[in-house]
Amino acid sequence: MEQTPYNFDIKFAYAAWVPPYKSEEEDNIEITSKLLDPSNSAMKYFTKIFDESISNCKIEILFKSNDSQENEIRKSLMDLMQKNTHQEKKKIADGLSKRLAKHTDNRNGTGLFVLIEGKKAETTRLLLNRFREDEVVFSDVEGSELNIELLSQAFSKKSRFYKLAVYEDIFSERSFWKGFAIDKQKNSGSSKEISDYWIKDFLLCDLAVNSIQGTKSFSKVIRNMLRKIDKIEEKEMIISAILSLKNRTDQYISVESFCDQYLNEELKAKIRTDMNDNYTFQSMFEIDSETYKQELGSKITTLDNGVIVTAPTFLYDEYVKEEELEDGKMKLIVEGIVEDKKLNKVTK
Amino acid sequence: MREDQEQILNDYKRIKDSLESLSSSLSDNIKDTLKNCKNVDHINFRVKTEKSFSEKANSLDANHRIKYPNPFREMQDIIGGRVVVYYKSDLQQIIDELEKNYSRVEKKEIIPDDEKEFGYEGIHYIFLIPNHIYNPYIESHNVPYFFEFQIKTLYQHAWAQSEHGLGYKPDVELPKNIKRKLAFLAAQSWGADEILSELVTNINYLKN
Repeated sequence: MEQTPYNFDIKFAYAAWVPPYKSEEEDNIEITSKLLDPSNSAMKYFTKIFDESISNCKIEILFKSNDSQENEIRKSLMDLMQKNTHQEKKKIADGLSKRLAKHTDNRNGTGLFVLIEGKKAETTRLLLNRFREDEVVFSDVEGSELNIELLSQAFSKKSRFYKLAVYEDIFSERSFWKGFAIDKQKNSGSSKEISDYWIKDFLLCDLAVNSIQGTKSFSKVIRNMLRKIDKIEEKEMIISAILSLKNRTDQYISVESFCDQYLNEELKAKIRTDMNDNYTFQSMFEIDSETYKQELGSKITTLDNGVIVTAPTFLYDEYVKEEELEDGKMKLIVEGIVEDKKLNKVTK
Repeated sequence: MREDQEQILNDYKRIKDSLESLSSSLSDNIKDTLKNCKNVDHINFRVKTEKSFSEKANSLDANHRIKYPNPFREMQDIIGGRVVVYYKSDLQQIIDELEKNYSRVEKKEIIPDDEKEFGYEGIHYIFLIPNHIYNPYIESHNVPYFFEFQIKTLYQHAWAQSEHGLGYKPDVELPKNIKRKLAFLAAQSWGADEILSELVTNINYLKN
């Protein structure tokens, strides 16, 4: 039995060539697959991914349930782990490969599906990878000669189409519900339909962080920071980031990725320290646009005399007092200490 | 009794305070989620008592094996909550809000199998504990992933509490006349809910 550098015993290693078979019946799909021998040179590459998988995964996932605690993929993975022979395990892995092919269309291209089961003490870990076929230029020096060639069927975890799922601590049906994933396609802002196919369609999972709860929790962090920080430039940076994100709600985000994308290192460090919870800081979720609008949207009041009062809704509701006067007029009262006042010049 | 009984009970005692704190955070979260729902009588949460945890941890499956080898991860009702509403017509708004806000692995609408029978009624969920409320990976490996949540009307709750309060064991066969009286009470509760629903509809119609 092969052991990884992190002392996992590899119980089963499998690879399959998975071309796109979108909408075909699974029975008609032909899969070419094999068991990976420990002596196979690629195993070093795969076991490194296996060892580092949990620490590299940022997306926590949860199997979808049919309300009776059933999920087809969850069942297949549990069956695979309970089988004793490699041939029995391979049969189940082939079924998973067919399922992956059925959900793969031409846009996702041909893939290499790799499944590895490992055990260390009481911990069982199951890793599922999908590498997309790519072209790479290969070169080496032989004596004084430089050889350059094109490899057309190369697979790498550095591809932006690379996908991974890892499950651990699989005690029983009652406890085996969560796992972790990497979906580089989802992070790279590709269309929802293409990138949902790994986590939602193939794995039959959802993100463990509910989108409404995630958006509410994110909004709370941002609002807290806006109240706590003193520097006007930092406040402006956060408000500008809130507005930018409003138009990009169809993506996975965490407080950490928000900071990386929109804020500077200093502000990121302040937020991380204030949250004091790295796990939640890194938790990925899908923004719920309605909740985002309610929690972090802006309120703008325009008066007939041309004056405009605007602020994030939560600040507006707290600090702008509205008094209805006669003749349909309204008096707006805003109290606070002036930190900055700008006069925009009119340019010719 | 399981071999590790003493160990798991000690572990349970050790994390009980964390569980109480988690239960309280969940209660706040649910109250916030349901804050715009009408006619909520009360929302409450509880953590299993040591006795109840111990009994369940020792329970056996159909093959006479320990049903929950890892009770902390496998028992999904260590923390449980309940919302009680006035009328049946208020149930849907609660269902909608909960299902939008929490990831679930189970939903059961419990009603008697036969339409001629009357007994326990309610909607039961198993929800994932939202990770921003509590982070199971850093606090303790023994903290559960899930919590149970029930939705009931006042009359469903009243019947269930009264019946539970009688304290008989579910596996003891009761005499027919006692079973009939319990069913009668359940029927009365069911009837009260139905009449109240009709009254709500009629009075709303008159108001408008």
